Amino acid sequence: MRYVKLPNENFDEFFNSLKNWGKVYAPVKQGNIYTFKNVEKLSEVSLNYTRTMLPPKKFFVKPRDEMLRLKDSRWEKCGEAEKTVLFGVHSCDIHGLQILDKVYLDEPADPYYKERRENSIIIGISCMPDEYCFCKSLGTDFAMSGFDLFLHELPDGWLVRVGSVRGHEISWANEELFEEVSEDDLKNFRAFEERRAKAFKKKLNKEGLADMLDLAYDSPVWKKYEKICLGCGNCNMVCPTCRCYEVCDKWINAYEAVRERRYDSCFMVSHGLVAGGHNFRPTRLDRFRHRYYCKNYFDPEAGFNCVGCGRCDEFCPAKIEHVKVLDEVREALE
Amino acid sequence: MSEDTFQTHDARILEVKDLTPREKLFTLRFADPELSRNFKYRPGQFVIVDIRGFGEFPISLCSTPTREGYFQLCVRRVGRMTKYMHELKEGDIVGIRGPYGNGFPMEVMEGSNLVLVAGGLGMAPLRSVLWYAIDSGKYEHIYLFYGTKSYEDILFRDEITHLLKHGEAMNCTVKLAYEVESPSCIYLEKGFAPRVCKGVVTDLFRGEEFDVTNTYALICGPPVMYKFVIRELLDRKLSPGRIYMTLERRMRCGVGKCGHCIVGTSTSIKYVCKDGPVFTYWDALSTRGLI
Amino acid sequence: MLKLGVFELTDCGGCALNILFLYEKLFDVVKFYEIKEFHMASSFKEHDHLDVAIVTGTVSTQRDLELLKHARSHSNYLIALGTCATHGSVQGGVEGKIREKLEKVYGTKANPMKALDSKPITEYVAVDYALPGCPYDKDEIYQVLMNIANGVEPPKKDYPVCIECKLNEYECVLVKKGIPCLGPITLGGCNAICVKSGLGCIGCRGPLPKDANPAGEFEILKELGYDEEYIRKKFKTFARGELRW
Repeated sequence: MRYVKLPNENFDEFFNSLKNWGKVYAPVKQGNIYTFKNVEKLSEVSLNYTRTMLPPKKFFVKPRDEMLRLKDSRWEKCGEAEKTVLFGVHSCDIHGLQILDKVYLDEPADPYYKERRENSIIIGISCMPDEYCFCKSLGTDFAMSGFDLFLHELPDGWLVRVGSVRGHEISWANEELFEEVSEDDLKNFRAFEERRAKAFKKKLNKEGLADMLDLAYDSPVWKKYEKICLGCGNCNMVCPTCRCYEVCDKWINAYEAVRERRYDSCFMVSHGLVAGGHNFRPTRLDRFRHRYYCKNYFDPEAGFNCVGCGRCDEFCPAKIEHVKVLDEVREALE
Repeated sequence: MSEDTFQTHDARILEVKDLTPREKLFTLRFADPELSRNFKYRPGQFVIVDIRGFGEFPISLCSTPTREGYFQLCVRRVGRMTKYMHELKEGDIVGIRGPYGNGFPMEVMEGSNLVLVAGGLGMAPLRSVLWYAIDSGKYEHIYLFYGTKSYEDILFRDEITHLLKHGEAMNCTVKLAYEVESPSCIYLEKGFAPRVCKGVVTDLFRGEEFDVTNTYALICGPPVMYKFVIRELLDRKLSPGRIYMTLERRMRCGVGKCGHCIVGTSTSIKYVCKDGPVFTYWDALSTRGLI
Repeated sequence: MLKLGVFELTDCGGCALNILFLYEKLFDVVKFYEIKEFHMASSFKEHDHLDVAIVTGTVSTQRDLELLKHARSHSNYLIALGTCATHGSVQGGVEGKIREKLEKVYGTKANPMKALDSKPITEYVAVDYALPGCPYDKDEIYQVLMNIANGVEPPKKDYPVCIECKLNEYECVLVKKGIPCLGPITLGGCNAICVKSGLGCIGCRGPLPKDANPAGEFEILKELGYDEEYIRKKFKTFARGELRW
């Protein structure tokens, strides 16, 4: 990997230069949450944000996504992908996008996702974990690919890892802003990573997790959480790897309609329903367990379906904790 | 092609036939002759029907690819889309995309006996296999065990009676079980006993032995049926790898994106639309929630 | 052309008015529908037979009941529009018998208005489509009417308010501010309009039809420090005690 250094005094100029590559979106504080928003100035950006409510997935599969527009009883494909720069993406979310890539870019590729993905630049940023983070346990705390540039905090600037040709082009175009990386910088980088590694409070025991869960199909723990869980689907909506969507046609006037998809949740009763009324996941227990199975499915190529970002915990009204549920299931089995 | 992954193509309804009070058979052809010529599918695959402006629904192809120039869908009136479909007439246009799914491995099964076990609407996808097998002549012997509620519910009744009469000449044995007695059923039973009887589909296995080294079973029916049929097959020592089932889920996309058909547990997750809809019983044993 | 009638029983009038708020989209509606009765819009009235009847409000008087039965028997497709019609809303939630209430207020049990205990229309007649909301989102009735006009059964929603709240990226008032919000157990479709303004959901669309977990919600609100009586009242404001735990 190629490393360069961005000194603090050049940070502003570097940030402004990103606008040449597309519309810049970055994490911004809004009330008590963070959200990726279009920003003009670096000062608007919350550089040390914890996590946005909706993950950057929202740029590639939009929460509400117009797919097709009906004109003269034929569908026309909607939307041109705009050039986008996602600034300040955390490592877990980069991993999340790579998991979604496996789904949406698998042939036949989703044309909307593909176009948007091709038209976007991902600039990662280092972070410190809070009480919800457990990415370290899943190995998603460090991104080795899936970004164009990755900014690591240094006392006097940023150590920048260049992850793609496009990333290289960006640093190249702003050559004068970057310096060579010094021994001290590397020392500081390592020190930051060590400090970060020690800061994790939550730990997931992933040893034999997939098999353990499979054996725990009838665990009493599911029953316990069936009572606590509201089945509201918030955990699905904020998850960086949840990919379910529902499709709905809507009329915009007497003769024109749009086909729109929106995020869906496997907590909805209709999710496991088939024509004729049979439901494959009729109870909340079935649906609760299904989510844990889906998130903790281990794909030998892609790893787990969970990146440990902590969103489901932070936004669960019932304060259900992902790691705690899994620990309890494990405990009940032993 | 990914550009039009979700685009649907005009297909004209050539014929609408009432099969039962609930089911209609639609014969369709793509309006674009080139598309029509290039439309290739396998028994067990499905298409997505698009009622533009209102929604889409997945449905299995019930015609055989051996008969070209058209394709057929057997539509039961159950939901808002199928209800609308039932109102359509000859000449009307619907959108179609597909075919999707894996379909039955017809080549693998060549030279073997096929035991088709259908319950209710499960007859639709198996009809594709049935006529494919008869038309191609590449299979040893074809059995069709068909369980139906009543005489009125028999799908493709004329074809079934035709095969009851003349099936043996085509290496095909058809057996029919009905649950609700009626004069028509008794009449059928009189003509074709013991191949037609009162009972459930598993009753049709009575007295049947298969060469399990050279037989494949293909099942489709309501979810409750699988357990009982599979027990009959396992009792006869048919390997779970030789039992194929085609499953139904509420697919939105048909191409492994929308997540509605995800089944399984942490050790095995499957998308019914792209990993299936045809699975072996072994798949079901190793993927919980499949049936 | 389909024949459409809008019938108003006892309510605030907002649900009927909301149809008029479709503004320019009303022109799309009248491309498919001939309006045969709509008290708030026109004095014109003619209904031997209607294809679609929209009924708003609760049955609170004998007159309401007769009008409802008339609407039902003269129409092919009846839509219960708004929470009054679907769940009984606020007036349906008032406890006690009508005669006792009359006596309490007027000092006599006499009932010259022929008032009845307020109930949703779903208690009296079969309803083809129920669209709750106080008021409902006007685009919802538009979509329903467009579907029916094209011969398609309108789709039904089954998700809680939280889904649309998240789709719109509104800050969760329950989790982040401790504001009592019934969003997780309330049927969505409103586009989370209350949360948009920083308010908690008051449950105006009634409980999630199939899988609400009011007991879980109750515990969460109690944990946040709200007393049981307050929560109980909140639960039954629109849903007439349908939310039991």
